[in-house]
Amino acid sequence: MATDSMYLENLEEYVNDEGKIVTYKWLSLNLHVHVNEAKQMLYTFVEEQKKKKIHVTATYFVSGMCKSVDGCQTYTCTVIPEEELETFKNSLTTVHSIHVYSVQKAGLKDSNSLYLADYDCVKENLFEIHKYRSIKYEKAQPSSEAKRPPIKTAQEETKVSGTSSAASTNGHSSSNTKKDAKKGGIAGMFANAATKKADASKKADASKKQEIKAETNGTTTAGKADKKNQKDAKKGVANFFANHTGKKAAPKTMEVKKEENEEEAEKKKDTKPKQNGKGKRSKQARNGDSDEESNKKKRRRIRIEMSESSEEEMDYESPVPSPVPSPTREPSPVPDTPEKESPKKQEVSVKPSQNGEKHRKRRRKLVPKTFMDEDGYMVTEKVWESESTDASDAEPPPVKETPKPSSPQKKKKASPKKKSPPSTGSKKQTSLSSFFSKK
Amino acid sequence: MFEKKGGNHPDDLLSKPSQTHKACERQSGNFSDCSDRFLLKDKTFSRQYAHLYAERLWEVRPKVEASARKKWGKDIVIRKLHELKSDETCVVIGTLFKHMELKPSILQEISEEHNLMPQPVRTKYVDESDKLYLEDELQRIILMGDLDVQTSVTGVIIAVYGKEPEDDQGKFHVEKYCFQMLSDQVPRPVIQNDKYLVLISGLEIGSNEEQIFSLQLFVDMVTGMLGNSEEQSHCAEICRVIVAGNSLSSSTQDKDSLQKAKYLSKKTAAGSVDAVKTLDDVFTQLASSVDVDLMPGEYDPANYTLPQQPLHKCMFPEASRYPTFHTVTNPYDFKVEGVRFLGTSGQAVQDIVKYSTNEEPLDILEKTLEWGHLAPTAPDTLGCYPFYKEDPFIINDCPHVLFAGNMTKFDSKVFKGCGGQEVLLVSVPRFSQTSTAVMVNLRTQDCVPMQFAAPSTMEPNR
Repeated sequence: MATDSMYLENLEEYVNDEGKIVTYKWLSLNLHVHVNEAKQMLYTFVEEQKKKKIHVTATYFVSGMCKSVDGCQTYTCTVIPEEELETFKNSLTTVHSIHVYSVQKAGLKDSNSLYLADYDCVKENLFEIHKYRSIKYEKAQPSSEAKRPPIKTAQEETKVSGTSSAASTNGHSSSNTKKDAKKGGIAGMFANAATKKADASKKADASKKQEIKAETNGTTTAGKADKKNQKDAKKGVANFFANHTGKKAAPKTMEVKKEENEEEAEKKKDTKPKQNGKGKRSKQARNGDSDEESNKKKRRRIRIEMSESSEEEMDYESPVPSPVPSPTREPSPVPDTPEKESPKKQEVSVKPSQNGEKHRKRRRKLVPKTFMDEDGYMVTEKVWESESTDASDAEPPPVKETPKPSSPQKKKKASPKKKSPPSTGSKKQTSLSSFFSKK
Repeated sequence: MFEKKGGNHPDDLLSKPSQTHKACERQSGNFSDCSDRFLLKDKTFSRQYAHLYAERLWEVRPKVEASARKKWGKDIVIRKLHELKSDETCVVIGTLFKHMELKPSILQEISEEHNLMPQPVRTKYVDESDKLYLEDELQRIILMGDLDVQTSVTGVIIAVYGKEPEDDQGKFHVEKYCFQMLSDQVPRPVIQNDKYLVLISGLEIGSNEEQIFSLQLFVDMVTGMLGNSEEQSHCAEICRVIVAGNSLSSSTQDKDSLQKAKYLSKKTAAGSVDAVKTLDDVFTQLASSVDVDLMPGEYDPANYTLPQQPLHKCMFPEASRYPTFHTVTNPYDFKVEGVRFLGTSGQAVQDIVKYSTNEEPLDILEKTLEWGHLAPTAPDTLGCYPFYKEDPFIINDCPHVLFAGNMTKFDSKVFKGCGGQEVLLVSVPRFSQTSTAVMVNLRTQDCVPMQFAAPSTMEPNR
């Protein structure tokens, strides 16, 4: 029989040439034969090798009843080397079965090597081993892999959303829309990407108009809308990233967590202003929320960008400026965290800056964000530097001229103009800064 | 125990390969689960344990009363403690309380008067000066007399026959005592063929002493890969495998990472993670061929208090794909082919070992049957959920097989009750120490230990 001769040759190769420990289980899984047949194959192989005077060692599995110390009959099953076979057989009162367990070139030192010999093979074929066993159990039918799809669908969603948002953003030439899309992309990776893609594209257009309205009206609703636009824009951006980068799992998971936190934070922030009836309080609440939100966004963006830095070639402009206007609305309630964030972001910006043009862009975007939170002057200077590398800069001149309180306002003005307009509620201030920027 | 069917050909696999290898069908037993009372429906821990004791007394008292009347006559006087009259021979029913000097007490630990001496961890907390009290709902009284203090434990409902002497008020002199009567056994049906149930416990994966190769041999044997076709057809008669606790080892419960600084332990995963993955592989292989019930044990990632709830299936993603894989409570009560099994992962037995002079697990199992309670020391020294209207550990239906896992060695005995009941007591040893599992024959109530020895002496032939 062809199979017989073949397996003998294969065994010879495995044992002698590769020095492998061939167990009956390994043989059965690799040659797709019944376990009992594999055991017989091993036996014939051992006999053949003995005839050829080639040295191979074999371990045998012996099972039987033996009298234990307590005097009761124990059903013993052991794997023993060939040398001990006869003595062990004699120690048993009755022998149930003997067969070859494994064949290897040199003797085994311990059971670990035997265990490891077929560990990998078993692990890979965990759900196929049952085919080669002697016992079939009809009840044991594994269910389909229902648990894996959820992870895949999230990735698929991001893929799809990435493609659609890319399509929508590619149509726009302005950097604002790109930034909007990017912001939306990061934010929207996890919620229904499909619906938000449409929203992102729509809101990208609407956001510009709303920015203008915001500047003039300064209503809270517009601010909220801007926030939402930011979200959608982020989603678009993230999808944009997702499209271009091969790796999705790690940044996505990170983004997922951040997204969830972000969304929760945003939800809370959205509810807070609604709850406050008075305009000032609501504005402050919004500003405070936006501060925290922007801080969180900044942190997340930094991390996200860190993870995607090596891979992506996208513009990093949009995510950076979007949170900038929101923190600048309120220079007074400056929490300590932004200060801490700024050094971090500085460090972050330092690292990527060493790499090339892409990181340059990053620098631009990163720095302004953080520094916007801080006291006006210091922040503005840094904004300058960052933006100097950029081509489009209407911000620097107005920033110089304006005093401290107005500087954040100016920045707010400038940033909404250039980049995506996530600024919420600071429209009154932006109107002032717009006045200054004209000069 | 294994009767050879037909000719014995142990060497038939030492031959040339033949194409004919029949596959046999796994036997499946009629299984029904009776452990519903161990599943916690609501988890409110704001109750006190007094409810549990009160419920226990309330439920068991009528049974003890019936047992006392049967034993000592129908005209005995049963009195509550507050109704006791001096020098009147009567019967009192109450909960036994063993006062132990060496028992670890939280009050002593934090007491400033005692200068905060840390109490040493002992294996046994018994002392010569231990006293027994009988408590009912309102009062307690010291018991003197024939009752053996050393082998008794707290929490047992007992009926004592004696009197309170006039000259020794506050003490009850016991002449005789009795416990709840074991209820009549439902006779188990006659099974035609041999069917086996395998008990294994103490796999203790994750420790240095884990017997992973022996465990693999066990899995291969049960799933029908090892042995010749005769042996495999024997193994096809195994209809269920019960893993009675401690599948993970105590070393995976190491809480050092909580003490260590975060920066040192940032990337270290818990030891239990790898161990659970290994277990998942093992159970997948087992579940693909036989019904498996997994009970939690002392070192498993389950709740500490009894009854331990089933382990969550998310820990075994691959094995959970098989409908034959079940995670169950500890203690576990079930019926297979009409044979009623009741067992624990051994915490109750080990606790009784600590707080009494009983050593042999089978003796303790016998005593629990006599006392009519699976875990009498709960909640005194054994962690227990504060039940309100029930005490699920009371043995109401007499089982056919009573087992306890994680014992030091294998042992089995048939206990004959006074009502003609026959209960097979099985002490399942720790697999990590003994590489032994237990095979129970459902037809004959026989018990055979299965030992899997790894090759210990393998010298390199060079």
